[in-house]
Amino acid sequence: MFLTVDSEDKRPLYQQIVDGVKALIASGELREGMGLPSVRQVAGDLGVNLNTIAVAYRQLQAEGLVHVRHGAGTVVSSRHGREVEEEELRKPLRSALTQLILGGRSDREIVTAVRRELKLLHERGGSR
Amino acid sequence: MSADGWNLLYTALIVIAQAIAFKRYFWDMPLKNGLEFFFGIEVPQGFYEGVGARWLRAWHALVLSVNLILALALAAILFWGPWDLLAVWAGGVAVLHVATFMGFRLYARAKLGKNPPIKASAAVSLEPRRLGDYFWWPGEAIMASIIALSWVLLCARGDARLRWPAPVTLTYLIVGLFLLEIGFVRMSFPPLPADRPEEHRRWMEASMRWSVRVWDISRWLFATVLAAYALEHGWHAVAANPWSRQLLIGIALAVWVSLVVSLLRGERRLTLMGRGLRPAGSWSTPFRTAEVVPRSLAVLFFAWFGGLILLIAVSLS
Repeated sequence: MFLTVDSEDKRPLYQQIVDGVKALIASGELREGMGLPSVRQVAGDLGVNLNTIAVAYRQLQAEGLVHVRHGAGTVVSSRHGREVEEEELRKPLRSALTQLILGGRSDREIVTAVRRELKLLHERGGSR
Repeated sequence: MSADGWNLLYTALIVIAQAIAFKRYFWDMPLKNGLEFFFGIEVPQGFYEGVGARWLRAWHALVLSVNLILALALAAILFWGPWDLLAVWAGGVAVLHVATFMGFRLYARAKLGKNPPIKASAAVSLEPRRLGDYFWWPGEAIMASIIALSWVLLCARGDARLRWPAPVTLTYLIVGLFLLEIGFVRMSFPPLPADRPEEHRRWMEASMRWSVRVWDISRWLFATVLAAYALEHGWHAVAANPWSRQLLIGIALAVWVSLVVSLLRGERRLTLMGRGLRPAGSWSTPFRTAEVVPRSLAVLFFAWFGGLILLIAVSLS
């Protein structure tokens, strides 16, 4: 189970980590109750500031995807996280769709791309 | 078999094990990642026809000198005794090899690996690493008990021939190695390449476990030597009976042989696993520079080794 970070990615590093963990939870690779490595371990392996990873973990915690269990460190809480308004969930989707349309993709191409990504996500975790 | 016969047998065993280790492990150590690398440092094509040939010669000269020193020490024990020094010699082999070869590797990295390739992306494993995954605590408790009992025996019943620098040095070796092991396990993995991260992670995990195992056996070797020393100087029945002394030397040598076997088997396995993989620490990311060992661990190691040299110097003076 890996997180990949890219210095050429426009997202800040902590966001890449948040998104990476979320993708692993969504695909079922990270299941409820599984432990995440300590902030120190991830920061050390990547060679980044402890704060960067701590911010990412805090965000995941705030979204209800992980929680800190005494003696066990950071543990995955649930696949779904806290209840989120439908509208809030749709916002990033809308933003991504806008980018694709502005990038000249047709509706059909967009639907195909979305299906492919969903399929990849399910295959990765062997879930659903 | 007479006592001298046993001693000759031990010596023959040592020479064979050392010769195999020399040929299969040490001689071509810099080339184990293939001709594109020197000790895991990426080198340009044709390197070994130019500068690389000199580096290889320097390495071979170092390996030969270390083994020559060890062979001379062994010959001195063989001809002038005392035979008890065989076990100490076995410990010296481990310390001298680790120190000189690590020094050479760090020097090569400083000279040849100044500008490692930089890759934009890196992967990080989400498997938590815990000390308990690498240490067997009941075994550690047994070792701690052996050390404590040895000291109790030496303090309470040590004879007139007892020389304190010996148990002090051995205890220093064991404790220092244990702290180094903890540092090694807790230190960070080098970054994993974004392609084939699982294979790289498996290799690094195996490499870490192998190193810990080799260091564990080294600690057991020193603990055995310490216990043997304590028994010989604190229990008169052992000192008086030549067979019990032979037995103690035999046990220490058996531990040493298992160290050599572990070293060779592990190295072979790692070489097979690492085929086609980029050596750990041979490339940098924008977040982290390539390194052979993390600086903090290198500092800890050299502090420990400096202390060891100091202890030996004090005991000789």
